[in-house]
Amino acid sequence: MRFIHTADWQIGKVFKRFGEREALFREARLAAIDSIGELAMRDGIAHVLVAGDVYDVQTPLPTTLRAPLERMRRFDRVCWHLLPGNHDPHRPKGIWEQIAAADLPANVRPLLDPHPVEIEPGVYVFPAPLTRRAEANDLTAWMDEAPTPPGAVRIGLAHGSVTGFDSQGDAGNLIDPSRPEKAGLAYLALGDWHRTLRIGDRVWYAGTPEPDRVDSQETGKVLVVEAHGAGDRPEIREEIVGKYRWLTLAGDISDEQSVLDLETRLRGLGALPALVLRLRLSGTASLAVRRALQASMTRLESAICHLDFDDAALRTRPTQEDLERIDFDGALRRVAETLQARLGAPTLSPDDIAVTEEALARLYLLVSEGAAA
Amino acid sequence: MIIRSLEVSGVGRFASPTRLAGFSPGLNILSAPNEAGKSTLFRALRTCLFQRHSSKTNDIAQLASNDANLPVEIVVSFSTGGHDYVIRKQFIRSAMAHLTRDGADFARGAQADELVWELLGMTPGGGRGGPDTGSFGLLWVAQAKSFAFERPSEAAENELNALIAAEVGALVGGERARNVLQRVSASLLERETETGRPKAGGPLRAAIDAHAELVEREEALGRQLAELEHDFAELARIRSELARRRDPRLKGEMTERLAKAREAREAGNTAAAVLARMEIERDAARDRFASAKERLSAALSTQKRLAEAREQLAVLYAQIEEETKRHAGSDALVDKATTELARADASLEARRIEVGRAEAMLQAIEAGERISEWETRRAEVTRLVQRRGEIDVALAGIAATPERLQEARTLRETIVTLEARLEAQAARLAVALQGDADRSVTIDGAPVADGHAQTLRRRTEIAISGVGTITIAPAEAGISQERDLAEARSAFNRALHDMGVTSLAAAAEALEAARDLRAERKSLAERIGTAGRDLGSGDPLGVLTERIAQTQALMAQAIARAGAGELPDRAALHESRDSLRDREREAIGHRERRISALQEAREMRAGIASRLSALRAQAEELAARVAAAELEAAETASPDAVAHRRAENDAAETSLARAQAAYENQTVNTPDAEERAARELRVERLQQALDNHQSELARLERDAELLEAGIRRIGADGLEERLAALTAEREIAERDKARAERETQALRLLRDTISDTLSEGRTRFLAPVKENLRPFIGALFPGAELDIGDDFTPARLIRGSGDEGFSTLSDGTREQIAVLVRLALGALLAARGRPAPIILDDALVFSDDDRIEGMFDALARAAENQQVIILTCRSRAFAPIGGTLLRIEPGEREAGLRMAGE
Repeated sequence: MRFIHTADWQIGKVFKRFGEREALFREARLAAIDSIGELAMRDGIAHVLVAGDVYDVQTPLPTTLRAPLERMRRFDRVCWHLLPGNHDPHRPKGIWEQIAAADLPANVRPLLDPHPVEIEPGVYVFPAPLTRRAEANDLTAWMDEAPTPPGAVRIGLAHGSVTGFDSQGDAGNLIDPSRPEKAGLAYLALGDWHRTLRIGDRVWYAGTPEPDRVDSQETGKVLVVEAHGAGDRPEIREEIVGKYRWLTLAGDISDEQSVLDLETRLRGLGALPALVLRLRLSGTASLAVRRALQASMTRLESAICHLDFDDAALRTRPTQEDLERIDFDGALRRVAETLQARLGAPTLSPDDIAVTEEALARLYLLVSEGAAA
Repeated sequence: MIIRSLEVSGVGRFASPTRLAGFSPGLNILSAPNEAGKSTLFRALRTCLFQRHSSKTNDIAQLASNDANLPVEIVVSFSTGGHDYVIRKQFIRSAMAHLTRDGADFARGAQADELVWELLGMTPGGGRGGPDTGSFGLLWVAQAKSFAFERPSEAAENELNALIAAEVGALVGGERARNVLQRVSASLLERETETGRPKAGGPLRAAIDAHAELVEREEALGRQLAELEHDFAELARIRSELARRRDPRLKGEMTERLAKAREAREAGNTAAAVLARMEIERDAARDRFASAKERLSAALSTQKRLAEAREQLAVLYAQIEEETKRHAGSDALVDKATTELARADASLEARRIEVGRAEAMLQAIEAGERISEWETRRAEVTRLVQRRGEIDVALAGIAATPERLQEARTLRETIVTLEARLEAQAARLAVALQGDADRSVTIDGAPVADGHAQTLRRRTEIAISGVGTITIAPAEAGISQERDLAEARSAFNRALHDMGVTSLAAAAEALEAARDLRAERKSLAERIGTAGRDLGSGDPLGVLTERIAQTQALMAQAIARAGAGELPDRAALHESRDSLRDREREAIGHRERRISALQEAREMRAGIASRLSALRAQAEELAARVAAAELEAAETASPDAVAHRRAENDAAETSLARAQAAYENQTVNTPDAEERAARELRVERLQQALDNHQSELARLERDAELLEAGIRRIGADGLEERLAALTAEREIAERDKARAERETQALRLLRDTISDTLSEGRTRFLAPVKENLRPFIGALFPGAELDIGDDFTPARLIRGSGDEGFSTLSDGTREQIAVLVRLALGALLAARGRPAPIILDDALVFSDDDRIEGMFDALARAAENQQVIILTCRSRAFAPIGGTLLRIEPGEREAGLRMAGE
């Protein structure tokens, strides 16, 4: 039995902080469905198991609700099995009842009850749908006692955190990782952890097909699973379906050369239009270097899909050249020196440091503009 | 620069050449009345030094004398840089300028104009205009300009700045800093108001408002979402509850329970009804049995009562007979007791007579004893009364009284006084006879011998034998006093006579004897009173006499009653009487015992009679009752009647036993009232539970519908997605706000730092000026400090009462400070090699006496280092200033003409 294991689509995720890029990322999540469908078609896979969090919220906008259904409808030879997760739990009159009432495509099957579902002759899916955000009990426990005909292939489908595993997912919804052994499962398809992750031979997190944050899945993936039986080890293959690459990098700034080096390094990453980058800057920069850095960042922001540079750890300390640039020996020089001395005060709070650096940078800018004028 | 002289011609009132002479390097005073031309000379000085000779301005035209034909000619001599200069200029007509140095030509025309300016450190103006007068404009104060301090001209400011910068160093780049400060302030002003609050329309306000709006919208949506979440949870709960309640087994169980409860209730109620009927039947049988039993009992009772009455009546008759016999015995006992009592009475009477006789004899004896005692007391009282009579007679013979004695003593004192006075007033006669005289001398006929001396109080005749008679008559006053003396003596003698004495001593003695007699009489009266105290009122003597007589009569009667001619011994009589009294008491006891015996016999007889009477009454009543019972028994208690009653009773008893057994049997099978009430309550409870189940089901379905409708309404429009979007926007707005605030804070920090730096530089830069200013200000305003602005203008006066803006000070204080600042600036210039005269035209007009004194000191202090020229019309007020007096005198040319004329 071959199927695609995916999870955490988080359709409807908000990307306001990316400004005008928001629409791209929202569309990318839907495009991932297309990629999964195309992968299934290409490999002749008839079933896609989505292990929860199809939607990011329980009450999405009507267009958000319908959009993924329409994407799945297009692949009518693929059957999409959807499991409610902690972001979209199955509740009375909730999202899943809305989906059921919204001209549900025939190839889309929400799995809303903890009962075995025969998806192919002799192949049963054991869903563990969430009916609330957090469950105290292991919802996969019922699988141990659920009967199936002899020789059946039993596939578990659940959403939550594996006990004993330091999950970054939502608290609660604990799942026993030895469930396959206890319930005779050929495979336990899990969702909630956004990175593709192997827990055991028969227990995997698929990861998200399109990341929505840095420090998580770098590029969206799904798992192509070939399950045989309770005693056999399934064959797992990772497939990239995501469009954007989400990265976090660090850069140490000291002089203008370090700025140039950093820019060169970032440009070397390639595929910059599909790169979402958080850049953590550190070190100590002069006012001139800060200005050069600003110019470099401005260039890179145009080249990279989204660049979020965090300079909270980058200290600004004016050099002698900076000070002379501001004023050789006059009132403004004294002003700059006063601000510089203020930065050296040991009792200055981080906020005051930031304000003082900003004041120095602004002074430098004003003087530079004045000189240019 | 030091001005040496000024000479004018064709200037104002000085049409002819006039010279202002007498300048010294220090303090110079030109004191002259109004319209003397002081200000004209001051204007002439300025015009000569600061105006081009070719200038034809209105000021210069107005300077000219009325005689317009004369040129305006001004000559100023001055020293500077170690040379003496003379500049001579003519204006309006025949305009010319001529400058000499140390007496030699130095320049002419425009060159002379400009060389003078250069010597004085002034900057030539553009074109044909005059120069910026620089420090001279600052230090030369025209009339009515002294109370203000106008900002120094650019040249003056530059000059001062240059001097100070040379000393403390310039604040380089101040202009750039001010420029940056201006831009920063402008940028900051876009963000916040002058009071530091976010400015409406500015980026900071916009960021704050945008954030606040998003927070508000997010909170509103959050509340909606919370409501939705609540509805979801509530709906899930209701659905779960509905599923549980819709379970048909639950309702089946409830219905079955209700049916069983109803069945049990009905069975209990039926059994209770049967039991109630049986109870009624049993009670009726019990009533019938009770009636039969009562009737039988009544018949038997009647029979019994009749028999008992008959027995009682027989007993009564026996008792009556017995009591009748006892009554007869008691009569005999009463007669016997009566006889014995009569005997006791006679015996007692005989004893009493004997005792009375003995008592009478004792009374006679006691009466005799009292008569003897009373006779003794009567004799004593008689003696006392007699003595009292004697004393009364003696007292009646004494006529002296204390009043009379006092009167006599007073008359005696009058006599002695008059005697002494007459003796003192009388003439004294002394007789001295010569030895050889043989004539005799008599006074009032009595011869006197040599050495005889006497007083003469009466008419006295002195006969001297052989000579004649000398009669000496006393004065009339002496005669009057003699008469008074005679009257006093007569009254005194009468007083003694009235008291029956012949002297005052005898009178006093008689008074003393009377006091003793009265004391004795008082004592006698008390003793007489004591003797008769127990005799009652009245004369004790009479009372005693009467009592003696009465007692003697009583004694006679007692003796007669005792029948004895002679009274026996008192002790034997006492003994006999006591013995008789004992016997009398025995007789009394015996009699009382007899009385008791009689009473007892009488009471016994009365008791027997009473009982007998009662028994007879009882017997009569009982006999009547027996008769009535016999009559009743004949009807209802005959043996046949009793047998019938007994048969009825037995039948009723059997019927009751049957009814009771049936009732008890039913009782066992019937639930009690408490149990039946419990069954009723159970039915009601189960029915209510079933009803509740139905209504709760309906309510839950209704609530579920409402919640579903609400969830559809709230949830259909993508609430959570919109909230997520808003949250993201709010976070962005939060960062924007933080950034805007940081930028504002940075701008504020930059502005404040630049301002502080400039302020610090200014403070440092102005320090030399303040240093020069301090002694001047301190002298006039002790402890005060003057804050001056960048342009050297006074800004604030800081003293104990607080900061005061220069413009808010009084006219006088402002004028004084303005002058002091000029003196300080002048001192600054002088100390740095650029001395310039200070000229004050009619200054200090608003100063009071104290302040003007201080100002004079300040001017004198300034004049130590530079030339100071004071022009004033107040000669008296400025008299104490000292200095060198300037004088207006004819000019050289005029002087020369005058000398020639002379």
